[in-house]
Order: sequence, then structure tokens, then C-alpha cells
Amino acid sequence: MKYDIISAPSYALLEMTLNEGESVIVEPGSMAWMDTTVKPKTEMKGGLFSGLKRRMGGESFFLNTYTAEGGSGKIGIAPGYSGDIVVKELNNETIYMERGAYLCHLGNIETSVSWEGFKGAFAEGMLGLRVSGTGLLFFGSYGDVQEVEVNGSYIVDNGYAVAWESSLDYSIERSGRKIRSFLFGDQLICKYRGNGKLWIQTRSPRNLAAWVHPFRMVKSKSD
Amino acid sequence: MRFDIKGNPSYGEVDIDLGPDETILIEPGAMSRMSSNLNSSFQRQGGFFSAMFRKMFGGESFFLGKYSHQNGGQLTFAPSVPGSVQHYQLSNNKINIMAGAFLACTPGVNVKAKFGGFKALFSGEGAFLLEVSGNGDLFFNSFGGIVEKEINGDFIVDTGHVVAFEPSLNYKISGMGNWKSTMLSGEGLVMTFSGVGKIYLQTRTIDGNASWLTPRLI
Amino acid sequence: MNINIDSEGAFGSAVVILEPGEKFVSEAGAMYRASSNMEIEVESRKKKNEGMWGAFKAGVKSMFAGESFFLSTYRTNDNQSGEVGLAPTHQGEVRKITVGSETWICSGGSYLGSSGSIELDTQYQGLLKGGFSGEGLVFVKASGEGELLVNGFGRISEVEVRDGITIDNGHLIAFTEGLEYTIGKAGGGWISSMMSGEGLVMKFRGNGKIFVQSHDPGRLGGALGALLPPRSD
Repeated sequence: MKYDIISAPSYALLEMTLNEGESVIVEPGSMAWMDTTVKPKTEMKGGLFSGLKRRMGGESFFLNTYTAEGGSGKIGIAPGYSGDIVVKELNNETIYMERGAYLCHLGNIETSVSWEGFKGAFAEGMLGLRVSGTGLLFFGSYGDVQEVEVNGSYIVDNGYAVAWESSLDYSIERSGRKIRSFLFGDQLICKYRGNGKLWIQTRSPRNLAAWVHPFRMVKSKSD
Repeated sequence: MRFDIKGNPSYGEVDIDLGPDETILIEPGAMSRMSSNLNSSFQRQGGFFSAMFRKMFGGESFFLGKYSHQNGGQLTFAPSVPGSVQHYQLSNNKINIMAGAFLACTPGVNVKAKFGGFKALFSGEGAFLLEVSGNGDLFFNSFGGIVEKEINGDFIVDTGHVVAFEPSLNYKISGMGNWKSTMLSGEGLVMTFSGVGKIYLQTRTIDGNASWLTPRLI
Repeated sequence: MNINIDSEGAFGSAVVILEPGEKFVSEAGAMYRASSNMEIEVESRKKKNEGMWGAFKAGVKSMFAGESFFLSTYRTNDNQSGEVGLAPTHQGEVRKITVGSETWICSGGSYLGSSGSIELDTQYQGLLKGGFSGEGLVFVKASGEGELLVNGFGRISEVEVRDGITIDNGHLIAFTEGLEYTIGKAGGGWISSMMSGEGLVMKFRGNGKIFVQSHDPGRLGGALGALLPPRSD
């Protein structure tokens, strides 16, 4: 398997060449282009039961598998949001990430949306994903990605944390102390504690969603 | 006319220097700044489909903004989505571009809407391809980075990622496998290209952007 | 105080390093990362001598124009230096403008932050001539001495006025006070019927500096909004 991240860092796309018989597991909707030798398969990873477990996490979690058959084949993979793609080699490790950041992986990697000790959603709208095992993992950032080596503690606004090593603990707090800050513009922040790597992105999907609100059509009363 | 494309690959915009009485035709709303002397008006483009039909099925606006002045002037224009801007010189040849990718052209260029077929209608990508021919300068844009590929054989592309392609290529629009797998797979419609020719692809799609944002809306 | 602008990709952001006692201000909610000793206070935007209720009414209106009403202030709380990272909503560059001999008028959506020493008038009324309602014309006046951080949708360029430059309102970031300008409709009016947005342009003359952005967020909003599910309010 060979890969190339093109158009980085702002509109990064992963071009992967699979040898005959090799497979890559991909977030649905991320296939941009491919040779006709690459064949797709939609399945619930790990069989029906694991699929149900994923659904309990609040979202259905189907993954697509693409395999090169009858020859090698190229596949282009990209997320729906603009930004960078990070490649991480996992060696029997666990990292956590924001659900939407997951892009694809190869190898013996397990992904799950619920696990013991999970506090539920990390914060408004931010679902977690636990990724562990051995293999090659690709995830995306909305905007540029910055790596922070946390040594003690560090604050990240909710929505900007992409992924972090399992050695880090996090807690969600409100910033600001004045009473009126509670009503408007209050910030939910994540405080990371411990020693480990934290990946941060420089744009927030929630801010974009708030900005685009007036541009949406208004539902008519008859709907 | 002199042109300078600045800002590629992330934020392509075009600076134009118009000579006396030279005209540039651009997508309405694309003008970002210009010397105050330039006159602007509009020009109808391609009379092949009624305005209603085009409006229903998306695609390029019926009108183009026309900018000119007897003394010439400067003008800068940009697309609505960020990405790359590509210049293409037409000398009695043709190129097909996806409706949303058209940005600007000079008056000797003909832009004709080509119906992409009924499957294209349901893709939401816009039912039209534009067949561009004639003589002059064409500017088209991508959402995200632009990638040129030489096709020789068969190649599958998610329709949203197609920007432009040479007319020597044939294509077929379909879902991924049968309709059920299309629904489950999360993939939209794809175009399978065959033949020999050049294709321009983009690394992001406005539909993919909307799908990603939808569950995060307030 | 040290301001580092990260523009490696197309998504600019700024990290401000503050010494004990120093203060930085930003659009509320612009902070994306910070050292643990950073104290964040959310304040209201007020005109000079204006009471809280007056500011609240104006603020609610600007909130629906897409602007957040509040400003945030940052200081360290442990007598050590600290850092605060600021990020805009849109993709694009971030630029630092030194305010001093010139006063700058900055489009509301382009204002990212400023050093505590800069005086901000967040309800600058100077642009409401020409009979326009003011919607979409939210501007902030920055005067005094210090650094102003602006963000653009796309790339930021400085343009020359020469014999007169016409700038589409969606592309205007900031300009120096003193420039003459008129507000009009683009293309003598035909364009507004063809597209979403009011199609306003500003025609500048005289001497001064102007910063513009390559892309117009309103046009992206139109393209994206049409593809999103409808809203109920």
C-alpha cells in the first residue's frame, strides 16, 4: 500500500494505491474517486451485534470497505470539511477523537462510539470515538491542525479538540464568571490534564453552523 | 486583456487589466473590486433553455455581468467557494465543465448548457454540464484543490468532485452498485469515465460540505 | 505582549502571549486554546456613556445580523505569562494592523481582537449615510495605540485607491478614517435581482489604506444555505 496526501494542508485529500487483495476501511461518503479495480462493500464492522452497540452511541456507525480486486487500484479519500489530514501509526495504542474527525484506517484497528468510563457526549454536539489497535489511522481536522504536548494541563474550547492520547484526562468547564456571561457568548471549554499529545484544529464546526443559520431557508408553517 | 491569477491553491482570485473597450463576462456577484470608472451591465447567456427550466435544475445563472469601459480599467473577481482558479485558452476547441465551476470568459467564448441526463438531476449536483467552445479565455474554479488527471481506460469519480473534462471522454452516471447499496453506502452518484483524455477534479464538494454541517446545525 | 500569526495553511489563527498585567480583547468566543492560567471575562459591548439596556437592545439586533454581542477579555491570573489562541469563524488569513497615527474602521465580521490599549467603538454609526438600513454594515472603530487583529474570508490584500476604487461590501475588511466614500448598489441595481445579498458597493476616493478579502462569506452562505435543511425560526 502506498499513499500520498495531496492538496494539503487546506483541502487535503488522501490518494491511496492498494495492492491486489488489500483493503481500506473508510468513513461513508468519503470516496472521491477510484480505479474500477477497487470494489466497495458496505457492512457493519464486526457483524450485527457490534453494529447495534454502535447505534446505541447515538449514531449508526457503518463503515465501508474498499478492496482492490483483479489488480492494484488507486482510491482518493476526502472528508466533507476543509482542512488537513493527519496520519498516525498505532502500535497497540488507544487514542480518542471527535467522531467526525475519523477518515479511514488499515490494519487491526477497532473503532467504537461507546466504552466503559465514557461520560457520554464530550460536550454539546461532540461525540467521541475510541480507536485502538495496531495499524495506520487517518483523521481530518477542520482547518489547520496543531499538535500540543500537554505537560500538566491545557485548555481547548469545545469544538476545537480533534484527538488526544489516552494518557490525557479531560473535564468540561464553563469559562467566564460574570452572571451575564451565562446567558450569552459563554464558552464551554475542555481542560486536558496529564502528559500526552493533543491535536487541535483551528476552526469550529459549531461556529460555522451558527453563522450559516440565517442563510437557511425558513420552514413554512405547513411543513 | 491581461490577467493574473493570485491566491491559488486555496483562495484563487483573478486580477484583470482591460484595455480600451475590452469586455470581460463574469458570474453575477463575482466582482470583488474594480476601478470606479468601469461600466457594468448584464448579458444573457445561451438561449437554449428557458429561464424557468434552468432555475429549476440549478446550474449557472442565465445572465453574466459584463464589464467594460472606453478607457479600459482594472477588475478583480473571485468564485463563491474557496479553492483554485484555472485559466483555459480556447482556440476552436471544446471543453465540458460542471455548471457550478464556470467563473468568467471573454466574448468570443460560447457557453452552451448540456443536459446531463435524468440521473444527474437527482444527484443534486446540478443537472447541467456546460459545453464551452469558441475562441478566447475561459476561467473556471474548483472547491478546494484542483487535480489534473490523464485518463486512459476507466475511472470512477463521485460527481461532486468533477470540475471539467475533455470531450474525448465518455461518461456514464450511476449509483454505487444497486440502489440499496447506494443508500447505505453514503456515497452519492458517480460518473464512470472511459476513453482517453484529460479530466480536472476538485478535492472538496459543496454537497459534502453541506452533509457534514447538517447534523451540527442549531 | 507578543502576537504570533499562524498562517501555515489557509486557516489563519493568532496566538497572543501575555505578560502579567497585560490585557487582550477579542470577539467573544474567538478563543480556541489557552494556557490554564488564562482568565477569560465576557463583557458587553457598550458605546461611551451608554447604559446596559441601550447596549443590550443594539446588541440583540447585531446578534441577528450574525455578530456576537459580547467581547471577551484575557489576562493571566497567576502573575505568570500565558497564551491565548484566537480563531475566526471562516477560513482565511489573519493579519495584524498597528493602530496609532491612523484610526481604523473595521467590518464587524472581520474584527478578531485587539490589545487592551485600543479604544473600540462597537456601534460606529458613520456608515449609515446613503439611506441604507445599516443591516450588513456593522463596523467597529479602533483608535488609540496598539495592535488590531483582523481576519478575512480568503486571502487579505491591501489595495490602492488611485483614481477611485469600487469595492463590493462583502469583500471589505478595514480602511483608515479619512478616506472619502459613497455607498451604492452594485452595477446600478441590476445585480441585486440576480443574486442573493444586497449587492452593495463602496466607492472610495482620497488618501488612505484599505484591506480587502478575496472571497465573500455571503456568497458561500447563499450556496451552502440552499443545500441545508430549512430552519424553523
